[in-house]
Amino acid sequence: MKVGAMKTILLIEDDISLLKLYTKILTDAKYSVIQAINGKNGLQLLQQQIPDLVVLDVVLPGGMNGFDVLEEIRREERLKKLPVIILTNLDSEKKVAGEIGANLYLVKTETSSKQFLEHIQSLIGR
Amino acid sequence: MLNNVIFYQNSNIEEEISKKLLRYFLFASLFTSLFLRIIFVIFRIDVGEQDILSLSIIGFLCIFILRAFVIKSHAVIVNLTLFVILSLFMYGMAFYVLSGITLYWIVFFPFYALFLSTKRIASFLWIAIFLVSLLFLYSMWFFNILPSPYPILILLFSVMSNVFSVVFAYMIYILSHTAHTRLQNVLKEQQLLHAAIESSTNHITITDENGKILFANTAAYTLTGYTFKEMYNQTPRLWGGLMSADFYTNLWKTIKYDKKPIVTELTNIKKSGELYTVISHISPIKQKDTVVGFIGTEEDITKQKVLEEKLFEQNSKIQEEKIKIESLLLGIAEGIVFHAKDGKINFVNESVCTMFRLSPEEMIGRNFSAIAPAETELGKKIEESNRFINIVLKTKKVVSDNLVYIRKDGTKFFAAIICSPVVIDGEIVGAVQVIRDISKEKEVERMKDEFVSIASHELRTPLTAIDGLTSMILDGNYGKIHKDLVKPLNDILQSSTRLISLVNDMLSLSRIQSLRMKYALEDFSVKSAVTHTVSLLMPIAKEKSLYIKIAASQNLSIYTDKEKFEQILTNIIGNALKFTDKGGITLSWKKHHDLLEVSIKDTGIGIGIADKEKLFGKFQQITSSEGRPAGTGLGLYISQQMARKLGGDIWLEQSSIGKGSEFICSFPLSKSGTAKKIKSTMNAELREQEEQKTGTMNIHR
Repeated sequence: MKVGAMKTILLIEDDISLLKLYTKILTDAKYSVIQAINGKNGLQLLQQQIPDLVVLDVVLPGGMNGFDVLEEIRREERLKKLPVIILTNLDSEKKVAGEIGANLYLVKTETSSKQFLEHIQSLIGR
Repeated sequence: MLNNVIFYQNSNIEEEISKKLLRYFLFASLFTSLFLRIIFVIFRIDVGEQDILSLSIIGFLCIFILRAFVIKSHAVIVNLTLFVILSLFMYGMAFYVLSGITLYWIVFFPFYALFLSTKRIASFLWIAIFLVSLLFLYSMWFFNILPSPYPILILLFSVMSNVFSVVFAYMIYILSHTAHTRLQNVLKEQQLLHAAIESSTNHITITDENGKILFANTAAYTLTGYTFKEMYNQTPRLWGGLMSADFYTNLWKTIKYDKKPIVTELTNIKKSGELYTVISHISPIKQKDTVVGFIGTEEDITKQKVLEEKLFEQNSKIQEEKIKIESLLLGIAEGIVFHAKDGKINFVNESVCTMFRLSPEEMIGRNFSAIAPAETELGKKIEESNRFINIVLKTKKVVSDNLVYIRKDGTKFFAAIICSPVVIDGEIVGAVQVIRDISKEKEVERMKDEFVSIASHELRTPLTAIDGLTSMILDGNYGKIHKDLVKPLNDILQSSTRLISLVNDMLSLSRIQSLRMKYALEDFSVKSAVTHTVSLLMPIAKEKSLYIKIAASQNLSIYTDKEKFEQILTNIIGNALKFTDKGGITLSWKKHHDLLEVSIKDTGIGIGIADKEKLFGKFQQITSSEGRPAGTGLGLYISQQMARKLGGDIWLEQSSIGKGSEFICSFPLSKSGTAKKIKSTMNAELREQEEQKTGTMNIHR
């Protein structure tokens, strides 16, 4: 498969270990991964390139949390339809996430690597 | 006796009057006789050989002498006797003289009797005797038995003189009658006074100027125990003398020389030796500024004294209690507010002042709502009618809740209130509010929640990495692994999984305790939900070679949170699998009133009596045969709390050691009353949480 045909996923996650883990899972599954470690960083990357999917953590450093980032994304016309998965360890904000416009809300501890991958595949395909 | 010394007797007064009257009458008769004599001389009437004047004087002397003998007799009897004797005497003489004086006496005495007698019959009797006598006399003249030189003339003059004397006597009578009436009134007063003194329950004694007893009333005999005989001519020291010598000296000085009355409390001694306490009033009896005697009254206050002492004792006890209660009220950290029946504040303790930053003066007499506006914990203003104090005064029931008070300066504080009615004899007289400032507790609670939320999150992030990475390594995503590493890696995975579930349970617990657990209610089929849960647990059962049977086919619909339902079921079945080594688990369900009851029956080790009690407690773990099982000890507690919140419950139906246990969890059936009730409760809570959302968001973001 050519590199150009690979689906691109923006991964915004501040925990380096988890960033590495999710990157590994996704690259192993033949996705192209762009990494960001905070909300601002993520939004900057979105200005340069529109990925096929954003996987977004909620608790982020730098004054902008995942919901703020999601609100920014939904505010921009060109990013309005962009699928966003909220991947967090907060298990009580599902409703809020849905209201702001997240396509999927996953709790990290309740989602195995396999399940995580399945959700992404069903959302944007392989 | 003494009575005579002090009071006039009835007969004495009558006597005085009759004595006086008689004297007037004798003068009257003398005057009339002289008048008659003068008339006879002027008109040269010869009435006989005897001199009228001398007869009159004899008559006067007779009366005077007789009166001296019969001085104590009743007036009427005196007069009757006098009349009879004199009549006979005069009449005897009339045989010789037949003078006008005879007629005069005959006419005169009946009238005299008439005026003095108080009895009408006596008067009529004398008038009758008079008329008969007159008739007898004239008949004697008429039949010439008696010589009568000028009978008609004598008769005429006699009648005239009698008319004069009667008129004169009558005038005197009127005069003396006035005096009589006055005297009688005095007498009546005296009698009343005497009776009053006698009837008085107070001891009364009257002494002469030297203090010798002249009179004492019945109460005095009763009180002291002495008879009058024993008291007479004694001083009241007879029953006194217990006080100091100075006391009596001063007393005597005051009443005798200063001539002033004295009121004092005395302790005296009865004849029997018994002591008694009295209030004594002693006054000098003065006549023109000379002390002629003393009157003393004594009121027995022994009983009063005892009562007084008791009362004093009780009073000091009450005072002591009052001080205790007051210092208690002032000292305690809880705010205490007393309300009158109309809701106005009539007492606040120090703590209330501190809480509201107001002085007692700013609160007492005012309505509580005016000085302490309140709102719910969610910031909704509490209306006047919903204020505790008003509810309590209306319903007479105890009310308690938490709320937020707004101080005068606009600052707020959380408070826990208990408001109780004050009821005396079934009548509500007010209410008391106990206010506890729970701001600090609330803050600690909030911080704890926040800490748990953050800690859970922060703990879960690295755990996710460990868990995810380990499973990836095991899956071979990082290349082929040495077979010796498979077991330790699995152990890491298991430990991290357990740690994750522990953190998750802690988070759930924190949410349940702070009422922040969210529930999404929906109608769904029991069968499919149970089947789904069982399918997820099957691998574990298979690992231990256990079966999981579903022994019910009825497809019922329940109204609850599906996720929580599955979580609860997973927890119970998971526990059952943990404690079962042989056999398996059988699931069944049935309707029971508004609820669906799911039974989870295992063939495990069973639960001992000691463990049964701990079963639904926090951090309670039951040790299995294989030692400490993998678990947090929070599962059943959390499950039960959630089930109850959802309108159902979880309980241990039965269990026997070595045979297995049966747990039952219940949930509201769709469209049942319980379901509707839970729906409205949850909706209300959800609305409240919506209002609070901003706050919550700030914490998490």
